[in-house]
Amino acid sequence: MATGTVIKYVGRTTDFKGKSLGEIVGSLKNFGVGRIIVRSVFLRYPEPSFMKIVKVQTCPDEERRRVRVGVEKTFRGQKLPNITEIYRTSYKTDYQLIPKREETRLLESINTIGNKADVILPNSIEMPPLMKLFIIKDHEKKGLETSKDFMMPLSYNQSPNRTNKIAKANEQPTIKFTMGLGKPVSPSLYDGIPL
Amino acid sequence: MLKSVLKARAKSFLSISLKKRTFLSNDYKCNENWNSAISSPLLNKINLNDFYNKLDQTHSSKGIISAIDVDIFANAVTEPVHLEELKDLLHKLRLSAETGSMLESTSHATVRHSIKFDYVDELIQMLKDPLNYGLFLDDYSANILLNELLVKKNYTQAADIAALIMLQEEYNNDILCSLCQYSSYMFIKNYVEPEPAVMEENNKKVEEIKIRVKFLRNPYFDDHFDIKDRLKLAGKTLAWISEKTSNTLNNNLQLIGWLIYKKYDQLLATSEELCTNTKFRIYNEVIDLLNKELHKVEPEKKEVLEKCISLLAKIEIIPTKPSLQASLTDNIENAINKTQEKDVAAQKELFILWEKTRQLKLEEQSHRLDRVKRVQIIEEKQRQLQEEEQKLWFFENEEKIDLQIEDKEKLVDKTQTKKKVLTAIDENYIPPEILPKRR
Repeated sequence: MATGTVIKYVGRTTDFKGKSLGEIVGSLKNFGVGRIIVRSVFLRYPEPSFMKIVKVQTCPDEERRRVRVGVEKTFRGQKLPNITEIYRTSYKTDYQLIPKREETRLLESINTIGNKADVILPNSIEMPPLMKLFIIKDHEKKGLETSKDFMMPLSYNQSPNRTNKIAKANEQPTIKFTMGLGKPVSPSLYDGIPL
Repeated sequence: MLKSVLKARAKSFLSISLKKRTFLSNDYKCNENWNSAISSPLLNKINLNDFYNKLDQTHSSKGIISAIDVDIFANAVTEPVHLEELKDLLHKLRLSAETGSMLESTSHATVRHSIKFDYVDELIQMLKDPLNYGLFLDDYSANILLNELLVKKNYTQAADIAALIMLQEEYNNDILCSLCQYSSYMFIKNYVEPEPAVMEENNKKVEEIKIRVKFLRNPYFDDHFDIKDRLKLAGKTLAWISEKTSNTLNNNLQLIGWLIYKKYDQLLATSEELCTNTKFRIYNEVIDLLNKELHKVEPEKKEVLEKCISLLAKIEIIPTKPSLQASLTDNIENAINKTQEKDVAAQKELFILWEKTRQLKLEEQSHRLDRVKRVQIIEEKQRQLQEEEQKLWFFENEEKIDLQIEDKEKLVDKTQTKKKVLTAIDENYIPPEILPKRR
């Protein structure tokens, strides 16, 4: 009388949907060069995001086998100019292969997004209130006139996926960032405080 | 005289009745070119048993196996035993980093040799498991393999191969496409539903083994590589391959394909499209299959199917004489007549190209190994020279060496004194007595 064995896997949960790059690329002739893959987590954006495999380099076997893949990445409708390398994230079981019959449709979907209004981000921002008071006091002590408006330059984290423009010297930004608290949910708590 | 004539007649009669229906002629297989390619001087020199042992040893000691070595092994196979060893080597190669540089001639040689030594079942197992073996069919080896299987009327395995071709989505070779369509259609036609396996009562003790993994995988069915049902695969093969070009035969096969693949919405869309095409005519077999499926399908899907049937009922039916099977075989023969010579020429070129690549890669490998050896020898020599230098220059460097000895002695002293301190403490130390607490 044999005892059945059930294997139960214990580990961290993820919300990935798909296969690992190694599995996809290993099941295709010529390692899938020229095919298009998609990452499930990028499908949450309304604009299409996909990656076309350009170069594949295999790596030795390990528990979650990785593979070094060079791709032409299109993120949220914008095609990035350089070839992106996927290596450290290739073990994630989040990739899906696009069949060849649906490739043309995907590639053309970029053209139909429609130009959303270009967003220009501001290049300077109001100083925080405490900083303002500090500067005023500091100038009084040193005897300088406080005639400036309190604006300081703003720096952004650069990444190839972030394509929003930053306002240059004379351009008007389309979004304004403020130091205020905005509109609170219960104004009574903020009686008498300038927001 | 009469006797000899009768004998000759009898012989020719026998040969006709024994002649199996083969599609590809022997010329297609380019056997002479292939045999001359594998009996090249490079491959003849090798003793395969020793070669396998050596590769095995290198793999277990250094953990490396090179793609070119496996390629040479695959091409030099002369006995069925070697095929088992080749399978093992392919598995090892696939699990190493070198798998990226595996040569195409390896797969082609494996397929050819497996057919020759009747290793086809295991070959198909390996082909179905690319993550562990890395074998892929190219157009020519696929054609040869399909031909072999169809000659033996082994439609199940032929449909398996056709499905593998469909999964790779490379439909450039006409002969291959037509052979795949024929295999899938014959499999579907002769398909018998297997009896459902009797499930045993589960009151046995179930032992649960827990395995720790870094991340749990969410269930995901990609409807492509994950399909295991042969019938569905055959349907998908028919549908996808026949989508390429639009003619009467292909359109009919598309309808069958979508039906068997159970994509009834796509079936409806295709039927609607075909209705508008005035030149389209439908085969009896397609309508029969549609009706048969109608009885088997669940009630929700029945509506869609009935719609399709009613749409297609308006189309002119092809008379029973050119049956679908006959049209398929005609299609194959047309494709062969069109492409055979091109394929034969291409194969011959490929063999020459592979031979050259093999030579090149082998030279590269031997250069690399030479360089490694030379570097090792140079380092060994350097070490020896250093030792000699120490000996010869001893008296000049005596003072420096004395200083070095002092430094080393200091280090040794420190470690020794530490130990002594520990032992001193140990002798005077009496550990406290711990008595069990009485509650």
